[in-house]
Amino acid sequence: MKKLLFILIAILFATLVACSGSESGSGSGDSAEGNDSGSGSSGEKMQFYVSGDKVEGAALTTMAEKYTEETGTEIEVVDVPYDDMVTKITNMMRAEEPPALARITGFNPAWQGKLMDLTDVAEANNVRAEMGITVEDELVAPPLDLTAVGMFINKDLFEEAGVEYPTSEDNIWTWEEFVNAIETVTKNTDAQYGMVMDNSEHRLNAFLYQHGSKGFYQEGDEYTTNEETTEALQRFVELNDNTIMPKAVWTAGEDASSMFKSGRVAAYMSGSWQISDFATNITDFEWQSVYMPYEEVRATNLGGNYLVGFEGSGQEEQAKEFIDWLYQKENYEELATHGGYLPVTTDAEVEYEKAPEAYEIYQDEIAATDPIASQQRNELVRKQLVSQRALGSVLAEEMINALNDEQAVEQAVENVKSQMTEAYIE
Amino acid sequence: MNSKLNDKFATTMLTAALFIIALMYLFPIVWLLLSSLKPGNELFSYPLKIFPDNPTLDGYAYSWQTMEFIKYFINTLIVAVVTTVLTVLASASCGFALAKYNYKWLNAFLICMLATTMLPTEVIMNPTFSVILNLNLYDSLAGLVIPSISTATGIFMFRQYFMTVPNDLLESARIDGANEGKIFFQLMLPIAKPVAITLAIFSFQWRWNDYIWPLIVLSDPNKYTVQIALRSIVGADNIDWVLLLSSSIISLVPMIIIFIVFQRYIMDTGATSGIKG
Amino acid sequence: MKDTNKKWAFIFVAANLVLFLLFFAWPALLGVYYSLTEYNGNVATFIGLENYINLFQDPSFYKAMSRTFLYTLIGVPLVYITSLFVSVMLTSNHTKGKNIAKIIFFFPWLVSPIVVGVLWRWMFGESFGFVNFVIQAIGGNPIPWSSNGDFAFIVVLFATAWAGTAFNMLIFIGAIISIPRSLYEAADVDGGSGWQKFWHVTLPSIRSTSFLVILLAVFNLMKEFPMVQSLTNGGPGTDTTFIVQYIYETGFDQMRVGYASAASMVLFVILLVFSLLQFRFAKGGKANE
Repeated sequence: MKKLLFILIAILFATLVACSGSESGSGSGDSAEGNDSGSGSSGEKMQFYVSGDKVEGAALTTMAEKYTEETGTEIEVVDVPYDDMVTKITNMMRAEEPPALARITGFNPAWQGKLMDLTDVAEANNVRAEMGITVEDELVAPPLDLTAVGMFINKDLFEEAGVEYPTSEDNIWTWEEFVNAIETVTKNTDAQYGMVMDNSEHRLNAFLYQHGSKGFYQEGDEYTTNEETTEALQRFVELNDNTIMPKAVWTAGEDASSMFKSGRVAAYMSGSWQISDFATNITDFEWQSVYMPYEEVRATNLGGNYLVGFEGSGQEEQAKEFIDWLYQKENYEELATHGGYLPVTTDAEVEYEKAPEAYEIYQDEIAATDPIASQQRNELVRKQLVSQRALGSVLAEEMINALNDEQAVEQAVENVKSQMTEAYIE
Repeated sequence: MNSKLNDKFATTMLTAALFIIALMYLFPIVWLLLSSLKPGNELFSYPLKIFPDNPTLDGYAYSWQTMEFIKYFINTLIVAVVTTVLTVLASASCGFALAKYNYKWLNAFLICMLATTMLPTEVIMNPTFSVILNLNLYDSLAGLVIPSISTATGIFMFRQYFMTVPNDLLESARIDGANEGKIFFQLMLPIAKPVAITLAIFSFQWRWNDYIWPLIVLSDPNKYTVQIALRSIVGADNIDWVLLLSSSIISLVPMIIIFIVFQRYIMDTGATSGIKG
Repeated sequence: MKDTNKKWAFIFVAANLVLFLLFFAWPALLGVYYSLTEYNGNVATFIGLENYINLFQDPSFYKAMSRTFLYTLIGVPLVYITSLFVSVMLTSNHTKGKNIAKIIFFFPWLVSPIVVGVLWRWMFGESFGFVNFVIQAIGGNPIPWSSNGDFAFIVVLFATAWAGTAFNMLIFIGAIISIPRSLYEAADVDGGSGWQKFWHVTLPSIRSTSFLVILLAVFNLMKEFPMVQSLTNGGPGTDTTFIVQYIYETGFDQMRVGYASAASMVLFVILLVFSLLQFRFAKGGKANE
């Protein structure tokens, strides 16, 4: 027994030593003065929180490695689930241990005043500041990449069914025609569903704009929307009938992308970020980017990520240096090429290696889109930062409940209005 | 004769029923294992095949490369082992005190410990997070170890056990002049070895599979435990099933090894019945 | 002598006492305070009972709460019956290969809640799941396991029973084998059938164990979170969002810490009432032993 006790205590000591060792070795930057970035010392790694980098061909990881090679400053790209990102960073901030950098799509009010002013860096590198988030004349979140919503089709299925699809901007289909087309495809082939759309408010908004909706906007002292929104949402619910669209994608989080990749879905409303993944990973059938259908106006929805640096990480200067480096023409072009991003700097010329024709369609879509798409999103994202309380995807959440027969579409619209009013107007 | 025939019939039927149910329990795991051996394009091919056409370990190689399992295993192991050792010591001493001393405040404390089973961390996550921040335990493995040391179950297991130890044993040791600490470490702890081992195994499993604490305490991926690493795959927008399936299997391996080594103690129902609170 | 003992007693419980104060009493009190404030992680403003008033008018809270109750109400008997059934089979004189079967039934205990979720999600996937494949192969229509709230709920229950059997089975087996043989022999003399023996001998003899299993199961199910998060993530919609996930989402994702704390306090009161009831029953049970 004594022997056993001795062994236990020995293990305890060994692990405690290992424990404290690993802690001091990888602490996330609370030592006040970080190391000189140029010195090439093994110093503290800068942490760069991103989500979805693996899917996007690890473009940021590649760039971070390149940066380390050139400057000796180590950057660790941390891939966290999209849903966990804001929560995670907010928690780290409450603990006063924010990461050095993050690539994000949403904010939390708790970040207010803790984001670095990146105006100079953006200006120096011709970053399109109007696409970023500016608070009190400080550009706190410049755009890192631009994405746009778009439609993919399974070309094999369309050909097998003998259904035409628009090949130029002159013969773009209406939603009516599009739905008829995919219905014919499902009828004439063994396709399981007509289309899938990512479970995302961002994609849904493009659908709404195309139907003449103006989205949700402030009018007087409350948020409201136009009638077309409700009508379009009604149509969306009707499309989710488990024949044209599978309900499970929205209500139960089934993965739209892998359903399309399985080859049994005729069309997929997603966005430009999928191109590089599809080009590499879809081998069983031919896919193609096509012009999105519309009803009232042509519209895509612009999206993409913002790049932020955090005050209080202890590595502010190094973070800024890296951001500056990343936006430099040559590096940025490499990043955009690798990740399949549409550029956000005015002078970048990106030559896409994979599926360049798909990118052209997106450029056309962006050029033809109703201006509402770019304004509204930015405005709402900015609200998340400057309001008392951040709303996540209210519209998506309310619509999920509507799709799940928990409430009527009208009720969902009312809920969105009242929640936005409550959170964004004091 | 007739009854013997009946017996035989009953035995066959019941054994068959038992194994049909057992197979139903086993199947989800087997299915996960079979699927993890399929290459990515076969995983979603239609119609589904039960056995992989081209069994491959590529999925495992892929997840071993993508996920830093060694790191996660080491982190989880540190947390599980340190917590387990401390839990056994703390629970044994506390259980001993609760069983062998008779003070009013000890009884009050016993009731307090009972209350903790009712209000587990899951229920008060938000204030607990503030406490973690205040104690400077955020994003450290110590933040996983320290709060998990105290467990009402462990304390009750030891308390029940020590209640069955005759007081005479203690008294005679006291007469021999041993102090209480010596009595506990040299006399009581050794005789409670079966309880200690059972609790150690349970504690190890709790910590290995723990999710809530690492979820709220950790942020640095270098400190991730296995479960949180898995979460980073499950939570993704586009779940990478090839990665998820093989990673899930890999995450099971250490527990399976523990089970094989300690099977005797785990399945010894005499010991587990001590868990009765 | 007495005084040194008091000192030793204190030393023996010290570690647990400190931990109790730090990680139970402190957060509990803090929770009470937060629940009376509007707190978003930055500043807490005292707002009295407003959180509670809002909470009791919030349909999403009621939904999470009622779903949790329903889950407990169906899940606990399910876990109880399956584990008892398995234990009886494993202690019966009429079964062979007990050791192998026991290991199989015990295996899920090794599997973490996250992986349990993954496992069942993979089995019951709508398009690529094994179960729907079998249903289609025998000519049925695929069942919307994840997009229909009721079916998703059923899958959660399956997973719960599967994962919960192992541990309870061990407790039951321990209790069943300690039932004196003489009781069964007496029943044999009276010519009792297997079912009668189970009903009149086994069940009454393991009464206190049953209470224990039920108590543990209730607590485990009331606070279910990791397994469901990875299995359905509370979906479809919020049909399988149970109370702990609701608290996590309001408190951490939406950063409404005050509101989430109020929900925590309500849950605590419910658990407290339940345990008090349970202990009354359990006392009644022990008196008969």
